[in-house]
Amino acid sequence: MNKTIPELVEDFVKGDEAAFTELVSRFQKKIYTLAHHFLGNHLDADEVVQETFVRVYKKREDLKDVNYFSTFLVRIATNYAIDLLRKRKGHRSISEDTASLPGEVQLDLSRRVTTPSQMFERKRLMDEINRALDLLPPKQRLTAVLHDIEGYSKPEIAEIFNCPQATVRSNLHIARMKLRKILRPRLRLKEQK
Amino acid sequence: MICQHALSLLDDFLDNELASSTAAEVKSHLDDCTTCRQAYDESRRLKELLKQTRNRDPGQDYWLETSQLILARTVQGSEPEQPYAMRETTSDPKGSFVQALVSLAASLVILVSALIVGMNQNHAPDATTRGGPVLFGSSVDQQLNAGYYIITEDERQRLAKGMLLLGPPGLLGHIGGLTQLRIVITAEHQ
Repeated sequence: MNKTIPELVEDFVKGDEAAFTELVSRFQKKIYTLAHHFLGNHLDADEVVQETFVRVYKKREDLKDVNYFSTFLVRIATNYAIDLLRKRKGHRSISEDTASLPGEVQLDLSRRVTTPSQMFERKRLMDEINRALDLLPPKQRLTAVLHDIEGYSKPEIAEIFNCPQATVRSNLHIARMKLRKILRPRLRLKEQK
Repeated sequence: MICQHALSLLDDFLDNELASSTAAEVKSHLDDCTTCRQAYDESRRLKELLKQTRNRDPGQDYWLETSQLILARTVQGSEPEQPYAMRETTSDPKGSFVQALVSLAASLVILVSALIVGMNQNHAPDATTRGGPVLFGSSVDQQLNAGYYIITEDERQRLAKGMLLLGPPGLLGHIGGLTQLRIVITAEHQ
């Protein structure tokens, strides 16, 4: 029978390596998508995934409450991603398209589009969104990514950033206002359609 | 409800985080106010747009390889000197093709350069490789008789700028059978 996350975390903290393997398997996609949305390219997202789990492994004894594993993990990932972004001087290093990813990489939505023109339009839209996100400061960008893309709640984000919920609300509000302004032509175009 | 209040609640309304009575008030305001309605519609579309960027998946092979790399660096205790374990890039066929193309181009450049150097060894140094007078101990007449073409430093500079590939010392010059035309550079006053 599959163990629950808290059970796996408990075993992992006690030194069960199989439990750690299972946790990596269950959470790596989550960390990858978050990092990819934040950093905008595969290589950096890949680095964040690896480093996050290596750090989690080393800091496992700091994990006080097994129920907060996800928050603990995402906090490490976001801290590392912000550091990486600072190293890149605030710019997501590669404005990447799906072709630069390894293997059979496709955006989920690319599978739903059928014609080359739809794929081209899709790519253009992704570039526009990435460029818009690129213009936000790290905390605002990360808040928008966590909330509006990854679906985290405001209390969860506050927990991850270790800050008051009011800060999260404020960051999200400003991020949305800026994105709306940047993407306004696209948003109005969609309205006309 | 005034616009300012409605706009301040717009995010929470969009995220379904308002009490039902407040949500009803906001909705009622949005039905009546075109400006606030436009702001709400834009926010809603933005949220939809951002949601569409979900579900990027590099494929099963990537996840397996990543797990192995992480386990190698943690459980198996083989932390590399470089913190981030770089992967081999063999899984990227596009990258391999570009690499092969670059290697081929580099090989061609080396080959052509070697050919040109070999050809140049058979005649006098040319304007692209030396400045100032290059033949000493022989008169201008002797040099002309020997098939050398005398140019000034000024001409050499123009040659180097614009005729590198077209003039006698250049690649096309060699291909065009002009290798017999040899160049000596002389100072302006000579």
